[in-house]
This record gives sequence, C-alpha cells and structure tokens, in this order.
Amino acid sequence: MNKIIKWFLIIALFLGIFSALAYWYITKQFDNTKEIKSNFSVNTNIFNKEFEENDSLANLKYKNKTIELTGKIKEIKLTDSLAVVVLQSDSSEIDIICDFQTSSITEVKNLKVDSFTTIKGICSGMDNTKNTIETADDMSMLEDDDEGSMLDDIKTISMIRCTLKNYKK
Amino acid sequence: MKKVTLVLFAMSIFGTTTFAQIKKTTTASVAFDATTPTDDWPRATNNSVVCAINTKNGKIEFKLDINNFSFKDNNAKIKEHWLDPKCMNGAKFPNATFAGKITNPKAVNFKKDGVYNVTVSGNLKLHGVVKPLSTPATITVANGALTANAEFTLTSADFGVSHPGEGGGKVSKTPKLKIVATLK
Repeated sequence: MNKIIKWFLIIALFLGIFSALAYWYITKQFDNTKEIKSNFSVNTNIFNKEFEENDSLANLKYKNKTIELTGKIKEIKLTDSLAVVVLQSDSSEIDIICDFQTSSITEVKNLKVDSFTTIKGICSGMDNTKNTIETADDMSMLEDDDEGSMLDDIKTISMIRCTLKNYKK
Repeated sequence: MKKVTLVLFAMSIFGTTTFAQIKKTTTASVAFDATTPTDDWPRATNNSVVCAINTKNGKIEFKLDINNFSFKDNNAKIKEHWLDPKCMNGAKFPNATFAGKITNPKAVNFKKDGVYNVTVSGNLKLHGVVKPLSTPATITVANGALTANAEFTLTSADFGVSHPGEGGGKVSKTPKLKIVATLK
C-alpha cells in the first residue's frame, strides 16, 4: 500500500512540475520595454529623414530594434485599454505611431499635444509596400475605379510596446 | 481686382472642400478575437491601422500590419504562433487590406451630426488571399469627425489560415474582428 502511495505522489509531483512549466511557456510575456537596453536614441527629425531618404535602408537599421525617440506630439488617443501617441517631425509628413504597452497606458494621461516627449519602443518599421486595390475574382465592383488608393499619401512608421522614457509617478 | 479676389476666394473654398472630402486616420483599432470556451488567450488588438473614407463616393480603405498586433497580457508565445509561417506568416504576408464602398452612401449625411447605419462591401486581403466581404457598420458624425464601427466574423480556412489549436478547440475557426476608426 505504501508503495502505491509513493508512486502516486511521484507521478503527481511530475504532473505538477510539467503543468507549471507548460503554464510558464504558454503565458510567457514580452519583456517590459523599460527593462530593455535601447539600440538607438534619436529625434524624430533625423529618424524621419532617414526613412524619407531610403526607407529600405532605414527599415534594415531600425526594424525590431529598441529605440528612444524624441519628438513633438501630434495626436494622443487614450482609453482605459489603449494608449497611442503620434509623433511628428518638423518637415516630414510621416506619422510615427507609438502604441503603448498595457502597463504604461496610464503614463500617457499627462501628455499634451504639441509638447515634446521621449518614447521608448520597438520599431516595426515603415510599410513601403505599394497600395493596390485588390479585387476578388467574383467581386468586380472596384475594377472600374481608377482613382488609385486613398492611402498612397499616408506614410507611417510604427512603434509597439512603447513606454515613456522619463516617466515618474 | 475684385474679380481676382473673388476667383481666389472661390478657389480657396473649393480647395478646402476637396481636402475635407477624404477623412483619414493612422490610429484606427482592429480587435481580433479567436477565443473559445476553453481558451481565453487568442485575442489581440492593433492600434496603428491606417484608414480613409471618401465622403463623396463612400469609398473606404484600410490597411494594417499583421506584426503590430498585441496579444492579451502582452503574451509573447501566442504572438510567435500568430506570426509563424504555419499561421499568418507575418514575414511573407505582413499586411491585411480592405478596399470597398458604402453601398448606401445616401443614408449618411456627413455634414450633420448623427448615427447612421450603413452596409460596407468590398475586398479583404488577408494572408495573401482576396475575398469579398460585406458587413453592416455604423458611422457616427460628430463635430466634423467620423467614427466608423464594424464587427464581423471570418472563416480562417477561406483565407488559407490554419492553426494546430483549432483542432483542439483552443482557437476559434471563425474569429471575430471589430474595427473602430475615428477619422478627421
């Protein structure tokens, strides 16, 4: 009888360890951006100029890198569940869309449009693919539309998992 | 001189009207929900969606980067699965796009505040596959801005997307998408 209990306890222990490891694996989060060492610290004027001059080269340099970006705030979108800050530069039409990580949403509430700030985040790069009006084989409603895409003159660079660089509670 | 002033005034009015005809945003949100009764994890949002509406002809377009979705609790593993070549293949198909029209544009008075029910039809490109899509939506006009809301369900298999979790009931085969865009 003691032997059965002993084996039961050993199996239960292994099952417990396996479950804990599986739970850790499945729920693994991205590192808090505040704790990640930055690869670049740059202002939006220089940053946007690099993308305007050669977006492929700038994507190679910045994409998936951690960047501290200083610039003027063009727009703030803040709700209980999301915070997005759009940064701009002096002479470029490119919007830099900074989507904040969940733990940093409340940091945005004191920011003001037209003020300057430094945002740290992971750069997703600029989408430089051509905007084409795609039409399904059995859907021809847009085929006679030769106006082109309305999105052609919108240029954006995305930053994800953002946080404020010098935020103090 | 008066004629020149009048022409310049008319041109400025025309220019302003033309500019305001297309409303845009770079911060629209798309929420993706493939949760099931047994798994609450596969849901994500993308808040850097580019969207434009032409108020004259009802044309609508949006575009998003698949790589910009953030999953529940900042989950890294589910995002890794999402971008995997066996699922969305974010490296090969980084964008999802929609181009369509409001089929009943006369139902909306873009110059008058109010909530308008519309139907939007067009083409959705996802995972490199283009499919027709038609969905009810609402357009709210308030203080010169438009807020467009739409919610619809997709069938993953229609776009050639599959995930091992679908078989185990952990990922829905018919995920819901919710779009909110405030355009100015």
